[in-house]
Amino acid sequence: MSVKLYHKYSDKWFAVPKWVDHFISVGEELVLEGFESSSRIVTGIVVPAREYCAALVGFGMVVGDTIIRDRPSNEAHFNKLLCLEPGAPVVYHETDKKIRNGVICPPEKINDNYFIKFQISEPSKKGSGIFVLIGQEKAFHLHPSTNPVTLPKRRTVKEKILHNEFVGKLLPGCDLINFDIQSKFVCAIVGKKHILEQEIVNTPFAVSSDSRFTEGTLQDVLRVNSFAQGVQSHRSALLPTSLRQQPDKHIVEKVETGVIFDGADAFLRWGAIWPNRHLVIILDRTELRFNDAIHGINSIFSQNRLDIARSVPFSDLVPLPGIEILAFRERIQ
Amino acid sequence: MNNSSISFLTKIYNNSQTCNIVRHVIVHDELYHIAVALNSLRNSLGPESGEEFWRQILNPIRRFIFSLCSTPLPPVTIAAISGLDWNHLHHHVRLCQQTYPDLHSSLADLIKRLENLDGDSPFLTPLESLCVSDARVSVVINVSRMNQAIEKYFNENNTFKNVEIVSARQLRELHICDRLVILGPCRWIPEYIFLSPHAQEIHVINFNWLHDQWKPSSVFVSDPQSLKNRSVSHCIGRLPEITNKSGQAFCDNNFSSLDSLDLLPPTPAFRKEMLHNAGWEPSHNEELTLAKFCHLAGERAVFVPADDNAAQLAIDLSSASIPLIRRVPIGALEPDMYLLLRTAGGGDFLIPLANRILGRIAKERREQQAEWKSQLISKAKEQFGELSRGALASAVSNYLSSNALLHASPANVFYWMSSRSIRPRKKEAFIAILEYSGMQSKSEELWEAMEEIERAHRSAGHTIRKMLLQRISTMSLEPLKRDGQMVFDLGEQDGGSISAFQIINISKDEFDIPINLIGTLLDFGA
Repeated sequence: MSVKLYHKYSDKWFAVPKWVDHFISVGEELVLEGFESSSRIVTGIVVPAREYCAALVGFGMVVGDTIIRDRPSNEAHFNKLLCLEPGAPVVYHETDKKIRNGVICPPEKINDNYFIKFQISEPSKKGSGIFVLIGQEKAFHLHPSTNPVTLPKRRTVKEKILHNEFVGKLLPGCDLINFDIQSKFVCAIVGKKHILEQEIVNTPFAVSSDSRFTEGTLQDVLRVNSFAQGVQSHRSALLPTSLRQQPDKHIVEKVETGVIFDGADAFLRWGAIWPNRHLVIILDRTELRFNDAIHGINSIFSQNRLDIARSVPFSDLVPLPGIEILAFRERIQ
Repeated sequence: MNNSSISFLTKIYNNSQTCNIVRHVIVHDELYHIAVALNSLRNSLGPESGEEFWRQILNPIRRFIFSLCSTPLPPVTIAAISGLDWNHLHHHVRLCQQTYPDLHSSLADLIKRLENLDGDSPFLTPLESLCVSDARVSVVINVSRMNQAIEKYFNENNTFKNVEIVSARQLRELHICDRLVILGPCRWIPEYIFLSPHAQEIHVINFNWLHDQWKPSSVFVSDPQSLKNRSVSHCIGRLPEITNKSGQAFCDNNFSSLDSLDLLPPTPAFRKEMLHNAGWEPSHNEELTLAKFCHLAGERAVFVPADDNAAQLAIDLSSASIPLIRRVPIGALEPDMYLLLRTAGGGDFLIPLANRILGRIAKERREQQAEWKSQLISKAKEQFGELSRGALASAVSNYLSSNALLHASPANVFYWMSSRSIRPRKKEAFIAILEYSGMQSKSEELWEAMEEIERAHRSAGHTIRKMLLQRISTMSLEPLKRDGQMVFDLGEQDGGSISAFQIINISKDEFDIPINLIGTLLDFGA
């Protein structure tokens, strides 16, 4: 992730320490690794303090997934805009701070090149709206909007922002509309709900641009289903360690990339229900069942490891003090 | 406990980057000879050391020696706090002369040496040298029973006035300091104290004869070939380095070192003798119930009912977002929760309060409660003969299931037979049980009566919980985390004093226990 995160301490913002970036990058690297049909990556991580680690790895997975999948090429995005029906609402990012709403018009062909034409809602001196033409190279300035059309009055920049500003600044260049509306489970986090809620929903983070901090939470990106409000879409699932019945099959099957276990109890309880997804197991030595979980990971390593040269991430990762990471491929039965 | 901020956690990561472990060596020849004598006696006894005679004398001695090797108090003070009864030990020495004449002189010599120990603790001199600067110093104490005496002792000495006493539990939460001091070998405390360091420096003060070769190591297995071809990634960040304080060697040539694990105190386990110590006298018609043995902090224990329906009032400090005090089902009790027990008066604190809430009808309702249980047991005996309570419960459970009257586990039936249960949770189960007992005509009346008792118990639980919350809101719970126990005085009118005890472990095994001993605090350290 190229954008620096900030955390709050005594009402001031500070750049997050190395360990926060470290866990975000673990999640991102796993997403970049992708899948082979015959194996998955098992990653055991022992840390001096477990708090926030699982949430940050999940955050990294969703960020990585968004960067890969929600950043279409200029050409693909341009073609998508060409397919919009005339009259469809759009949002035009004229500059970073100037955003206008409009409606799409039929495309125009000039010198064998197609241009997207749209009418912005601000009336021109002649009384009709302003028409704008944009070519393929500027296609990402224009996005389909989910809002109803025509907001004729000039509005302040703040009012015009349709997306979560924190997410917009964190994931520049990504298709934020798609991110806003598409629900999927990039990852699942298994852990204690009340603890994860505190970390994901109630802890403020920020991004900075032009000396201004834009506040948000990990939930703005992670979009954990259990913490999503109203019709908000989701990008990750939460499975409480304490769940008594079998987890929802629908959720289990739809996890796309990996599952993160926040602690030994989580891994020992639900470690076996995702046989073909990457696993990240975060453990700390203060846990009562730490040794049982270590034994579980070592058993998989000894019995079911698949040795394919240069096949795991993190080989070049410089571990932070006090952290031990073991990553290997496990044969999928 | 997750109330850690990013900045607090960063301190822990920063400590991991810089923290080193410094070993300090202390000398105490007499204690060495005592430890050797104890080990030699235990080795001579072999499996016989598990016999009650030897347990009664060796267990307090082992606990005493462990405390001497891990506590900065004078031996005399440790003996007093441990409740070491020299007369009792001498009595055993005399008995030993008759029953184990071969070992009498060894035992007599050991007791004599222990009794003659005097002076200050050898830990004080190196500890003093670590307290001279302005650094915030904390000492990890392994014997929670000694905490308050050590605190008092430190407060009376200018050098140690600012030293904080901490428990292992506090060192996985928010306690942080500049310098952490461990008394005794590294292997006597959890590894995380070194590997999740809550201090910039860790100092270990240990005897020159107490073997301590612990060093941090990797926990995951690895494979050199896989690492070479990069099919496996195994990275280990910096671990603390261990150094000896300059000029100090670990093992003196005059001593052969002792294994630190040999000096650990005995692990508490259930023994029938504990019940005698708690004042239990066996009788033929006493009521037994199945119970689990719950080992508590401060060398204490309690029996909790082994029943799915039973719950125990407990303090749970694991998260700010769940109720601090709540009724926790027995199966959900976990180490680190704090059981609430009535320490003044003994036994269950809910029943007397519930009876007060019931008022004038309490006697009648309790008689009704006893009546249906007595009928159930009589009917079972009539049908299956004079069997033990467990066997009766099992037979009734089978009978009810095979006749499609009710599916209830033997443990449930066993619990319903006991005076601790009020009624089955489900009405259909209660009606089936009454039908079996020949009391179907009274089922509605008894259900209503038991409902009243149930409501009174719930109300009593709420009252106690409310009073405790009021008390707790005005006090810090750090002493509870440090000492593993804390007394809450609710006033005589409202239930006397209630104590919270940290759960160390709960047995998987179940034991037949006299029902009146459920909830009674057992002290196996005294």
